[in-house]
Amino acid sequence: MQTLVGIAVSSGIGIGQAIIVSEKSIEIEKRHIDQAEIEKEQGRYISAIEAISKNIDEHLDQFIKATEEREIFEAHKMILADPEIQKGVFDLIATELYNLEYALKIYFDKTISFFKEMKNSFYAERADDYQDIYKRLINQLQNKSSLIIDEMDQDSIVLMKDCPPSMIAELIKKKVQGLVLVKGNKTSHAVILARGMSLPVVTGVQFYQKINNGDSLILDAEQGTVFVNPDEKLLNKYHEQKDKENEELANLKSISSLPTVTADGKVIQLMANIEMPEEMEIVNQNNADGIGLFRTEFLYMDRDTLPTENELFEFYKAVSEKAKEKPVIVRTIDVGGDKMAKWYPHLQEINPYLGCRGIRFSLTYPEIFKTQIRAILRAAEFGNLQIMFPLVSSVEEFRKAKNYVLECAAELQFKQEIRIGTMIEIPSAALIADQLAKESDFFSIGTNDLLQYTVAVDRNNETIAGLYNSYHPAFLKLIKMTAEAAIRNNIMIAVCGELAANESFIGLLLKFGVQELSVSTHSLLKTRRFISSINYQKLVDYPDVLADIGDSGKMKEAIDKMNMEIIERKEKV
Amino acid sequence: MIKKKIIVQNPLGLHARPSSLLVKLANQFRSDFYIRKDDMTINGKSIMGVMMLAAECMSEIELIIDGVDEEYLLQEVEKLFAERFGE
Repeated sequence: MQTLVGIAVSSGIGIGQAIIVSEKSIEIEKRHIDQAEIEKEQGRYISAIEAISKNIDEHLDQFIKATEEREIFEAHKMILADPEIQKGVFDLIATELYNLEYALKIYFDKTISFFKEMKNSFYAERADDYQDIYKRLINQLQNKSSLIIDEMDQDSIVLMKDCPPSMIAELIKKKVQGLVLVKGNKTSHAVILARGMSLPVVTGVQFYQKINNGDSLILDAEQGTVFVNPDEKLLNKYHEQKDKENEELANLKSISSLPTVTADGKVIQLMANIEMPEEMEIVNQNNADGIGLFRTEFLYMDRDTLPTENELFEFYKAVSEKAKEKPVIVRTIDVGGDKMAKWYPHLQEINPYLGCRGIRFSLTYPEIFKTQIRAILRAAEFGNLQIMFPLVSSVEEFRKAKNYVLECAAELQFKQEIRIGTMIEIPSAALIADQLAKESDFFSIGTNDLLQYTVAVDRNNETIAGLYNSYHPAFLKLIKMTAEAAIRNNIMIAVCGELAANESFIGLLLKFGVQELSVSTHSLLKTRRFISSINYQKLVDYPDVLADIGDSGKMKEAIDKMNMEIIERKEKV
Repeated sequence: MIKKKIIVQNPLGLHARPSSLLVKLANQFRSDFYIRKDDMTINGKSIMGVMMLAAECMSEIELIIDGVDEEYLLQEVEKLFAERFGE
């Protein structure tokens, strides 16, 4: 038995056989065909170019991209439809009796080198187009990925270098046990989707040469380990754990269409945090009350240029439509700090967490901000979008940002009401919550940053990570103050940070008067189930737990004690 | 069959956009359409062919058109060149 260690990025247990999706290397087999096969080979060419063109059309329909990108795709389509290329390839098949793949290789090698040798650099660069088309044709013909998907079943553990997001849905359909990747991290597009669909994933595993197709595997995506050809004892242990997990999943699934209410009937708004339209399916399946935090950095990261207004608009519109009438709180761009975009003039900040991030970034680059606001406003006509500014530290910042929204609304002749809220994640904002509440339509507390800025601890710094303690009374006091100010001023108060899904704190948040909890998609059902065990009246009647406590240890004891009292331990049937 | 010599006059020559306009236009006609430049003759309905010509500004090319709608095709192609592909 061999053990490989990686990083658990989507939790769960998988037990099954390895299926390796190998990297597509272009290996062309040279084969001579019979006279009788000529037409078949030529027919394969026609089907391949039709399939690729169709794929390009779908891509063009789905994303109205910058014209430059569009032109590249249009050019590819013209090349695919080129009668000369078809004639050249068909001739090689008919006269040399080559198989299609080899005919393509001969034909495109010649074409690519012809362009490469041209003196004018503009024409020489066309070689890239032909290289791209050649690769696409070969991939289409070898059709490796779809063939391998056919082999997968509910006993498969899929291993690949890097997973395209589109593949996650296929894996879910095949009910595979889990996914092992060489590349990727918690924030990869595919991993986010996998997590929402409870597909166990471990990344950072160098499995090539260590795992073979058909090996028996245990994927422990709680710990981040992969066991290769485990012994029976270990298998039994994991089968037991897996059974429990399945039972838990089935149990949770049974409440997926229910509303979120406490044991004594108080309705709580349970919202989801998302990053992209594809997640809306899980949100709707689990009957969330809306989107409490739509992070919008996704379209800004991992690219060299800024997204266009139309690109943003299509993205927001997709979420807006899928949410139907439910509210969607769109947080404006929150780059800076640890989230640096490639197109951003990389200013060396000595202290990026105290630097130009969140709303400060938007106010520094108003053109970038206004492009986003216009896209949100245009998409707001297709649903119930609301706007939230991140990292607000003062009333002036909020006003300035809001003015940009009003300016864009006037330019677009946008007539609807749009609700504009403040994300409370800096102690200064919590301390002036009363004043901010007079100008905001709602508050949402970002607990991760609020804690970091309250205790002045970078939680990624292992030496002092112990000081990043959610039981710190100062942090909890700031949340309480914010909630009370919101209630005094009659505006909605939500929590969208990690604390909203933490069962030790949910009771306390509700006691503070928090009306909405916004959690990641995979925490929706667990949070609902936990809320259903709370007796809300007992919670309201319970004495103030924050009074007179200065240390985190005592705070924890007091909260644990309260939780014992307010939670009704009913046996789940 | 018609043959006609013509000078490429748009500043960048037959680069991406003009070439694709020309090919798209030619494909709407039934006539065969060839373009000769120096000692190279290519199919004017093929984007690859037109790009291979690398016809820069002020170069001379010959249009060779043969088919039922040859005159109409010539007329449209000449128009496109005269308008310098709208540039």
